Amino acid sequence: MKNRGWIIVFASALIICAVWWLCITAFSSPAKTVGIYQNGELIEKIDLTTVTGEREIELSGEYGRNIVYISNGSIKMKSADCPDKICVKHGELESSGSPIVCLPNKVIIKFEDASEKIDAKAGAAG
Amino acid sequence: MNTKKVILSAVLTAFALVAFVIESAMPPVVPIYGVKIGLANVFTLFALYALGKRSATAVLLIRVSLAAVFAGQAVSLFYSLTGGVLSLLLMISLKRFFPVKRLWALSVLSAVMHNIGQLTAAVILTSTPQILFYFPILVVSGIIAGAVTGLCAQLVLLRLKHIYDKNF
Amino acid sequence: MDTVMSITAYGDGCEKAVNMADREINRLDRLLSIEKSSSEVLLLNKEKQLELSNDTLKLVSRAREVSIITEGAFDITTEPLTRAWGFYSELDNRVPSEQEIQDALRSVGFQHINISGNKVTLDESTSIDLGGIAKGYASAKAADILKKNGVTSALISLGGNVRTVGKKPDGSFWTVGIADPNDSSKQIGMVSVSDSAVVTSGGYQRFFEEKGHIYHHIINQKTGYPADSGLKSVTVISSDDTLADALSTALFVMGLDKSSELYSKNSELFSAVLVTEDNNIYITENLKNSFSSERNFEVIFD
Repeated sequence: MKNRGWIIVFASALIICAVWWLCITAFSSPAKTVGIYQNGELIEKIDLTTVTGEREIELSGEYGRNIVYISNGSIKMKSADCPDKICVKHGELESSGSPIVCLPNKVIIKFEDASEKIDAKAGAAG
Repeated sequence: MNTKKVILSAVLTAFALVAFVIESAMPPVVPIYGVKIGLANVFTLFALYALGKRSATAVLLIRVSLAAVFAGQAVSLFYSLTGGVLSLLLMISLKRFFPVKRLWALSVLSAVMHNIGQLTAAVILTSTPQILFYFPILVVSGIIAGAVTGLCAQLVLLRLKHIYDKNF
Repeated sequence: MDTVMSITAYGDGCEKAVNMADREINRLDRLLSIEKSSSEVLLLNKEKQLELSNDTLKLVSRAREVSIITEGAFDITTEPLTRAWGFYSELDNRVPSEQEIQDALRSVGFQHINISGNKVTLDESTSIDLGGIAKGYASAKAADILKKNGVTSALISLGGNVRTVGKKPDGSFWTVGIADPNDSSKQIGMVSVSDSAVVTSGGYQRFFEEKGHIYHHIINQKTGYPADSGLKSVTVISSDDTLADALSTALFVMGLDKSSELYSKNSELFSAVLVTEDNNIYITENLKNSFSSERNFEVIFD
């Protein structure tokens, strides 16, 4: 085959693989597991990447109700009866940020470390 | 093999080692051992076309062994061997279809083969088939790297043709 | 102390102990935090001269000691700089002018603090911030209270500062993960500890971006700019909480080489895990048997 022939073969292979690669990376996201805790106890663990549609979880504490809202691979506090509503203002849970905390009702929503089993993590808040 | 060939093979092996060490200092593009531009391969290709398949085999195997010794890791030996040997076998068996002017194309094929070898070794050693996910990007980098290194070897060989043709 | 705190304790009388520890942490927060109106630190900064209560005095003295061994890298007088960069309120973040930084630098340095008995005097435009050492002190006090009340096994997490009391109830070591500065939901490795503080400092914890540059909250006290020593995060492990807290910031400012030097002179006092800008991990030799990671790391010898 002449040089031009090989160039066409390789260029096509390259384009196909490049497109394939972009499709894979653009649409996949690392598995994200979150844990919802109240009073220090694990209420529920959820893998955000497997959630389809919407879901609401209601919790009640000393200061009323908290409603957790999950959809599209994200989780946030939709509403809360606590006085400051800091948990609602927190917005969506980000992997690079701090957990969603409702102190009055003692609710914490945070990412779980899927990999190794550790008791605590240094350097991950604030 | 005559003395000249042996000496030249040794020189090429040394260059290949240096190229390998320089490349190792660069950050990896992908988290699989051994996926890089493959500058060292320029010398293996050169050896194959200028000196013959025995020299090329020697250049590759000795370079890979010494590199593992320098790195102080036995694991890397297995990785380097899989990719290197597979691509070498491909190079040697298909060489007759690729005259010097098409060397770059053979280089592309052998680079892609090398990466597939590395990928397979990684999957086997770490028992995580999920790594196969990297296949397309390895083909892409293999094509590009193979073309670049192949062109280098090819251009040098064409320039030096008058020298090595006479001597060997 | 403006962040999330959690105490997990096992042992007799632990509920009472945890409540006491919790109260003590809140008390210390009100006393030492520069952002609380009840704070002694705030008062000292305002009046420039004050007779300090025991806890505050202890901290200022300890801060001076650490400042000396780190050749100034740990510095509680950087308050004017922190203020200039707007790190006291998220809305204020800005890049100060060269002039502002030079002006602020004039009042920075331990020589501007005079300690005489329990009376501390600050130079005219000098102000202090104990934020880099207070959490360590608080967790140490909390741990003491737990131990005095019969708790034999506990884990305190104070805004990212971890403190362990004893071993786990089953006799095994506590495993504390070290956050990955590039993604704090992941970790770069973990340490097995008992009765130790594990404190991490890193630019990634607090920063802002302006015109494409990242400015983080750990200011180099000599240059007045965010420390640029080639490190992304430093984790210090020690049975001395205040030392761990202060050193984590100091080593971050000092950089890998100076930190190694400090370690070689004081290897019985602390251990450290450092992550460099190019994502290489270094651990001090005394961590060899307690640090584990899926990634490669190098050992610093003394």
